[in-house]
Amino acid sequence: MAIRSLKTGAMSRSALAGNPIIMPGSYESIATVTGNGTSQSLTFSNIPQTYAHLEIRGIGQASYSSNDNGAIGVRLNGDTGSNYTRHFIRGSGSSVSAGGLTSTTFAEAGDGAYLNTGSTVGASVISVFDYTNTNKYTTIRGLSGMDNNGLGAITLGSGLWINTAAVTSLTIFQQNANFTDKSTFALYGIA
Amino acid sequence: MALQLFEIADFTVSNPVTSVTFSGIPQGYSDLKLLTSTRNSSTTPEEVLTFNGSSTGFSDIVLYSYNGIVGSNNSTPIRATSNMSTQTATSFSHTEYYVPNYALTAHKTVVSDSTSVNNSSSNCFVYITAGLWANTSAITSVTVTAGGSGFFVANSTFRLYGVL
Repeated sequence: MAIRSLKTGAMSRSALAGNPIIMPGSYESIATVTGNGTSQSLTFSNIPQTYAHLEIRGIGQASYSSNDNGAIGVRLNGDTGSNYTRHFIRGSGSSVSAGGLTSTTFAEAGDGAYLNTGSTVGASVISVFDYTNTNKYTTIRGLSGMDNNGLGAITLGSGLWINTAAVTSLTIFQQNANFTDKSTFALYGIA
Repeated sequence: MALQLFEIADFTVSNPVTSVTFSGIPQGYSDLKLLTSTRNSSTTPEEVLTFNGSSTGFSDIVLYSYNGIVGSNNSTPIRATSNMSTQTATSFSHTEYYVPNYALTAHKTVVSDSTSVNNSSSNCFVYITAGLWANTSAITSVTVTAGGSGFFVANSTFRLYGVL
């Protein structure tokens, strides 16, 4: 038997006998951020400390006129210092590359931004495990890519934040240009 | 339909262990997802995935990067990269395993991506793995074993989810 909310009118399942058991899921939406053309950073603040892991899924476009693919970076707790490393493996459609950088100002999350205006966007799935654990540095991983009919890249990137603090805010960063209004990223908690 | 993820079990290492096993896996999900964040006491930057206590029928193909080199190889276990003792202290790997159709009576395919990190431009690894367990048994247990006869150190974490 379904239950109708008197406040909203919404229908939902009940846990009364005879109905399927309602199991709380382990994947929950926390917040969504969207670009507006004025900033290279999109930030999730006041992240609840009640999940095991975090995941961000989104699309990115930055108004840089190079008609190129661009990396998405991750910064934690507002730290803009050289306290990150970046590692990646990348394919461009014609070649492969890999690399590592240390003392960088953001962690690598892959080529998740299209650096131009128009309809094309990049896509990213980024995750941060054990973000409340203060016994380990925080590792970030991003699978990102974009294609504009021959131009683009697919990247599996990662990074290390040299800090053991619990993560309370997370910033998606594009180093070349401001995120356009076609950019939107959703933060999820994984229990 | 939106992704529905349900935690089945989790384990955080407090005293070093050579492997972690999740047994009695419910058979009612479509797929399994296993998330690990590990550090290995050995100098082998890997962990190995097996099922049902078996040591046979496993193989993999890995696309990897290491010190600016891209390569691919295959092996008989199913491998992911794990942080190892020569990488920066208190740094841990990041691995996502996905096992579709784990309860069906067919050979099992695994895909994973993993990274072991280091506060250096070198000695860090990224793996993308496709694995096979050539066995038609439904998966009822999952084991992750530290590579190089090492131990998973304290604060290594393992979380198993069912996917609907």
